[in-house]
Amino acid sequence: MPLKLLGCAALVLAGTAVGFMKARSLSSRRRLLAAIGTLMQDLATRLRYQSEDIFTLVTLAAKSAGLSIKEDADRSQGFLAWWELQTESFAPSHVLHNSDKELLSSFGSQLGTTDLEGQLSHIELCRVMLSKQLSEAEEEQRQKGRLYRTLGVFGGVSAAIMLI
Amino acid sequence: MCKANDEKRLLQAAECLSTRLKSAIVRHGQALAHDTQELRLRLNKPFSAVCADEVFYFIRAGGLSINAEDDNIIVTQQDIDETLKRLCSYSVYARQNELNRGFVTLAGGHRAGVCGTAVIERGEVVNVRQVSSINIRVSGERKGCADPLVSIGAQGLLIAGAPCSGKTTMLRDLARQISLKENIRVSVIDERGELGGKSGGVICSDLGMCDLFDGYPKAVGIEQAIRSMSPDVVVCDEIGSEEDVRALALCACSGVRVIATVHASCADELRRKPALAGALGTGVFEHVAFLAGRRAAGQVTGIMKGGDVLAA
Repeated sequence: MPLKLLGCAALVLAGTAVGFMKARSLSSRRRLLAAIGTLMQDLATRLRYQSEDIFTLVTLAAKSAGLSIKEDADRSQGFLAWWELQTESFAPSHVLHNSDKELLSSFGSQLGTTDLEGQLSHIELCRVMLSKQLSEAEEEQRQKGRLYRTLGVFGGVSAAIMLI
Repeated sequence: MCKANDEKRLLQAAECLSTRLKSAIVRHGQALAHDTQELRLRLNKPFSAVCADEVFYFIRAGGLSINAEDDNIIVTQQDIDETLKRLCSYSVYARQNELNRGFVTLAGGHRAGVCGTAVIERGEVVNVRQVSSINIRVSGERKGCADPLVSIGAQGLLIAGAPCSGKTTMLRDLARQISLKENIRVSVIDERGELGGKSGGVICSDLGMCDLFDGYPKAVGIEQAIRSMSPDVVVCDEIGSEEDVRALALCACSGVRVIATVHASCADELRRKPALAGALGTGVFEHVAFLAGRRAAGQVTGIMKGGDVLAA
């Protein structure tokens, strides 16, 4: 009997944990998208006032947005390759949706390739697109977050009842 | 040793080329190192290396040719785009002013000339799009090439020569040699970054004991140098504007001598430039040295007294 009770408790805990983890992944996406938005805004400001190269500016902007960046990453293959490497580092693929990854990739593809005005327009466009994704992520977190947590708890409880 | 240094400088200049073109230079680095003055990229035309006497084209299968033929490496749009990005360290916005002026200075003092279609606003070039040609001028460092001018340099010297005659290389060596002489303080005003070849805060060219004003417009740099560094000699490259001449006049009345270069292949051409005639009139140049052309870069063909150039 005590073993059965222990098993039940384990099932409830496991179900709850899965539900909370799933809900947490939703909030991770929202937080990451918000941080990328901060990076874009910071980068636009730095482009206006600092005439450093794009590697330096993105590194500084990413740091100020709280994103982890590989400072010793190889720059010899060009900015795009460097950017792909950095996005792999601060934006793990399981957290982001495909549309987020496409946006990040398109953001990096134009950085450093045009004059200041072109850069600022490009960043603004990406920020608008990002804000849509961010709203979607917030909505998803609000709707599905509670659902996942509830499902996790009830799933665990149901499994425990079945065991009894 | 000198050849190894030439090769190093050629490869340094080729760093900005697209991967495909750079590998062609790396393959022929030793053969081209000593003589190469320019690397020329023209869209849909053969990639070439311009030497003192010949123009070499790169053959796709390997090897060099002196004739433009079908099997040459042809410069593609991708080569131009990649090279332009590398020239600007992948940060076009940061080099926009330089691009608008038609050139970008690279680490080591090499200079890349860029031409395409100008975007004009209020009569000024505000952007260059559809770049079609890039000319990378390989900056040379020939220690000792200024030996014939060292004895007269500190008295004030104008080095005149046609493009690619070795003016900047000679000026750099002259500044180095004079600064190493006892009690001669030399300030170098390096408006375009070609003399010091500064990269990441490090001066890549050997300028001896010179004080380097990197990136300063000539007139501003000269004024600041006189105020802050108490130079005996001020060195600057390619003078010509009225503003430059006003700054030289300031040197003349401050007891500071000037060593400068100018585009002119003979005394006649010098006289036809009114601003320079004014500069010679200030007495800031005791001598004028004339260099031979592209085919004998760095060779001094004649030295005249500054006053004699005007009088002739």
